[in-house]
Amino acid sequence: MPLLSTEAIVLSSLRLGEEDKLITFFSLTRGKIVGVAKGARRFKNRFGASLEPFTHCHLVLFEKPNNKLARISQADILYSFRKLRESWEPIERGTEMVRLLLRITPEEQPHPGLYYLLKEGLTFLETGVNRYLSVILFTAYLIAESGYQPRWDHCVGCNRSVTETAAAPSRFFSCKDGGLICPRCTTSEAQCISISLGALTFLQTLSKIDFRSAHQYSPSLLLLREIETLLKDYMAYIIGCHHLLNASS
Amino acid sequence: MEKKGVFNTLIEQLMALPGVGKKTAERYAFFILKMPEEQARTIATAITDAKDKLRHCKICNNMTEAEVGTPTAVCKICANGARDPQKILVVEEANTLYAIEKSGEYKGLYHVLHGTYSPLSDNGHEGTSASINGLMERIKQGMSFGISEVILAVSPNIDGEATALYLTRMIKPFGVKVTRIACGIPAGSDIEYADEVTLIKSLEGRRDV
Repeated sequence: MPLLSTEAIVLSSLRLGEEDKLITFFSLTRGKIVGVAKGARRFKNRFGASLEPFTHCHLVLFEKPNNKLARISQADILYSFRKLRESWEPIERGTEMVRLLLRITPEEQPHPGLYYLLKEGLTFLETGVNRYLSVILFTAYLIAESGYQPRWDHCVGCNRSVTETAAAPSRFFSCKDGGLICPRCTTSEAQCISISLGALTFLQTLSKIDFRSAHQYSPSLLLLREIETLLKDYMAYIIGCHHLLNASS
Repeated sequence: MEKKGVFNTLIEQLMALPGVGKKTAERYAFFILKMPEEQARTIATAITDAKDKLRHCKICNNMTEAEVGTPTAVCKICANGARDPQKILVVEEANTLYAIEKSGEYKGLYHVLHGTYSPLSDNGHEGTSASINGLMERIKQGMSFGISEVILAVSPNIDGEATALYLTRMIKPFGVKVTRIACGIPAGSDIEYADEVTLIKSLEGRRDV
C-alpha cells in the first residue's frame, strides 16, 4: 500500500540530518510507524506544530517498496494536546506514558485498543485531576491490553484461590509467572514481590472496570506507590523479554 | 580515470559532510582536482586551522579563536565592553547566536547550551548539564553587577519547552527576570496557512500597538 491515510498520535520526534525530522507515531490502522518529515525543521515548513509529541493528527504517508521509512506528505492537527507541553509535570507524565508504549509495542501491528487508551490517557493528563494516578492506571491497562494481564485471583502455580484474608507475607506477585503466587509454589521469596491487601483489591477492581471508570477511585499515595513499583517491575520484566525475543529473531 | 587510492579517500572524506552524498562528493572531488593548487591548499589550511584554533569561549561557550596549545579563550562578544552585561540570551547552538547577531538588534551577552533538555531521550539533559552549570555560575557571579534579564531563545518544540521550563526553575530563585522570545506567525507569511497551535501561541503572545 503506497499511500496510507490514518489518524495517529505523535510519540516522538527526532532531528534527522540538516532539516528533516524522524517521527514515530501510534496510528489507528497500522500501530507504531516511523516516518520521515522532509524539511520539517525549516523556518517555513508545511507541517507547523502537527509533528510535536502528543499531537493527535490526521496523517498521510507515502511508502516506498524496500524502504522501511515512510515519507510523511501531510499532517493535520485533530487535537494538539498543547497544554501537555506547557508545564513540567504534564511533560514528565506524558513522556512516561509514551516511553512505556514505545517499549512494549512492536512496529506496524494495529491495536485500536492501545490507540484509544493512549488518547484517553493524554486527555486525562491534560485535564490534570490526578496525573500520577493517570500514569499508573495507564501502565496497568497498557499491560492488560498488550496481552500480559496478570492473574489476581488464583495462584499461577497451583491454580488455588488466593484468599484475601491471608496474612500479608503470604501474598506475593511473580513477574516471571505473571500473577499471584502462593507460599507453597514460591521457590525463592527473593524473586517475588510482596503485595498488600489494599493493592491487590485495587488491582482486582481494575481488571473488572474500564480505564475511564478507574479514574473515579482515589487510592492513597502509599498504595499508589506500592502499585507503581509492582507494575514497573512487571513492565521491566516484560520489556526485558521483548528485547531477548527481538535479539534472538 | 580510475577511482581508487587518494581520489577515493577524498570522496569518502567529503561524504562525511552533512547533506553530501556520493554523487555530490564526486563532483566536489573533481572540482578540487581542477582548481589551482594554491586554492586547494588554502581550503585545506582553513580546515586544519579551524580545528586547531577554534575553541569554546570559557564564559559563554560560543566559538572563539585561541592560540595553539591554549585550552580556553574568551570570545569577541564577551570581551566587548560595549555590550550590555545585564542581559544574557541563551541559545541552543552557536549558529542561532550568529543568526541573532546578524539581525544587529541585540546588544547583550550570550550563553550557548550546545543542545537541549530532551525529555524523550534516555540521557535527558546529560549533554547540556555542563553548559547549564556554567550559566548558573555566571548568574551567581553576575548578581554583584546586576544581571537583570535572562532571555531564552530556544525552539518552540517539546525539547525547547522542556529546556525553557527547566532553566526557568533553576534561574527564578535568584530573582532574575526570565523571558522567552515570542512565538507565532512568521513575518511575510499568510495567517490562513498557520496551524491552530501557532495561532493560539500568537494570540497568547499578542502585544499593545
